[in-house]
Amino acid sequence: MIYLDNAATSFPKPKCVLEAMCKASLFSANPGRGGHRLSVKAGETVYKTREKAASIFGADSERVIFTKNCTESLNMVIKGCVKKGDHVIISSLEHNSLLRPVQKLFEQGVITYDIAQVVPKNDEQTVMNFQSLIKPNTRLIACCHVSNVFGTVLPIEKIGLLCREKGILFAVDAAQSAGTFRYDINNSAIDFLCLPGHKGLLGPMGTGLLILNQSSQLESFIEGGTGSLSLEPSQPDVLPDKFESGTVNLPGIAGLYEGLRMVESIGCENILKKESRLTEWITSELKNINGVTVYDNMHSKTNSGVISFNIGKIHSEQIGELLDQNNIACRAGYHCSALAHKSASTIAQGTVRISPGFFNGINDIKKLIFCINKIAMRQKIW
Amino acid sequence: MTYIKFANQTFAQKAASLLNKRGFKTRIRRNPNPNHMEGCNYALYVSGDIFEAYDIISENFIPNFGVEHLGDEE
Repeated sequence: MIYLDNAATSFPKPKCVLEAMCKASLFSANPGRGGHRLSVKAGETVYKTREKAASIFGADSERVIFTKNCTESLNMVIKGCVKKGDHVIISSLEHNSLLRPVQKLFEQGVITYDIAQVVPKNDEQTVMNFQSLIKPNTRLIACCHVSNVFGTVLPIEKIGLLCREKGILFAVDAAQSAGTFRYDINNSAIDFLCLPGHKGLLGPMGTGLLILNQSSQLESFIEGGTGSLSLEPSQPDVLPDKFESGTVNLPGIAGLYEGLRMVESIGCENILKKESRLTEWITSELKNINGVTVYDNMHSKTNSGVISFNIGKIHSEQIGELLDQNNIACRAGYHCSALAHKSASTIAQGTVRISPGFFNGINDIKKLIFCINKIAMRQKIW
Repeated sequence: MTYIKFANQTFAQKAASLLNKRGFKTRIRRNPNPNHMEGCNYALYVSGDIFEAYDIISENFIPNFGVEHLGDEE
């Protein structure tokens, strides 16, 4: 099987990730709770992962929060920083993981929100579109760094500066950028960085991170046991406990450590360079195939590792099925992102998304192009 | 025994990591004598001058509950 669905989760997981998960399951107890050696040892594993993430993302270690995925991180931020009457701005390329918590708060009458149109290849216009929606009660701007459907890269530095200038909180969904784009949280205008552990960071599914800037404040999302200040009925304010009630996913965190270590040793820039080259090549090859539409009009000046295409008027799900029959794994349909598909007018068909990863090679792409050629030729008689 | 108290293992680990880089040997255990204000928390045992270690921790703004001495064993 040729795996080209790394935007959903990276595959295969490195052997060191799997071994670390296994070891953590076999030889560790509940971290940050007991005083016995198995518990303390588990706590050390959790801390070294926190420290590694802090070092990679330029954050303080106690401000690295373990979550179960990027969606949970986004929910924690969105629901933890707004109050009744606030206004929120999101982008026109958001995944449902960001849209739906905002929509929920809107339906509950807590907030109002607006959607800023992203203009690919025109960062200034995109920023102006955000700026034009700011109101006196705008509390939060939340957007993805890279679109999960089209790979569009948003100008988050400029949007962040706008937020700082206006005193607005800024949350970034790094689901498609963590592991390929470099972040330095404490020296950036990002208040909250939400990341999955299982995509570009090469960790296991069921892991995510929320990274807080030094100055960022947030209400807790769930409350419960933290192993600290246990005689107090109130949730402790101390970090990271405030946001980590209940037992954390130790095997997942142990695996994530190895993923982070691998990303650090390869280097985000090298991973991005490789994935970008592959997507550039795929794009240019696809554009030469009759009947194929590549949505490179949605690409930005900076490349990422995600592209979308269609063949004729066939629904993308059928193309996805045919590729699967040829042992190629990719994602078709709507990618949990109605907003992005509305932006690109692809609601009728959805799109076929190709997202190569660091472990893909030239032969994988040759096979992909060969199969798409074959499907496109066959499409003529449908 | 003398140790530095922390609200959680995260800060105890952060302090240990810093002190290890400065040449101290450290060991983390549960606080053997928590009071009713603090509840469960962690103790960092340091081989060497614990007050020097405490100064390093404080200079680096790692939150802690201070140094505690328990019994006369040492």
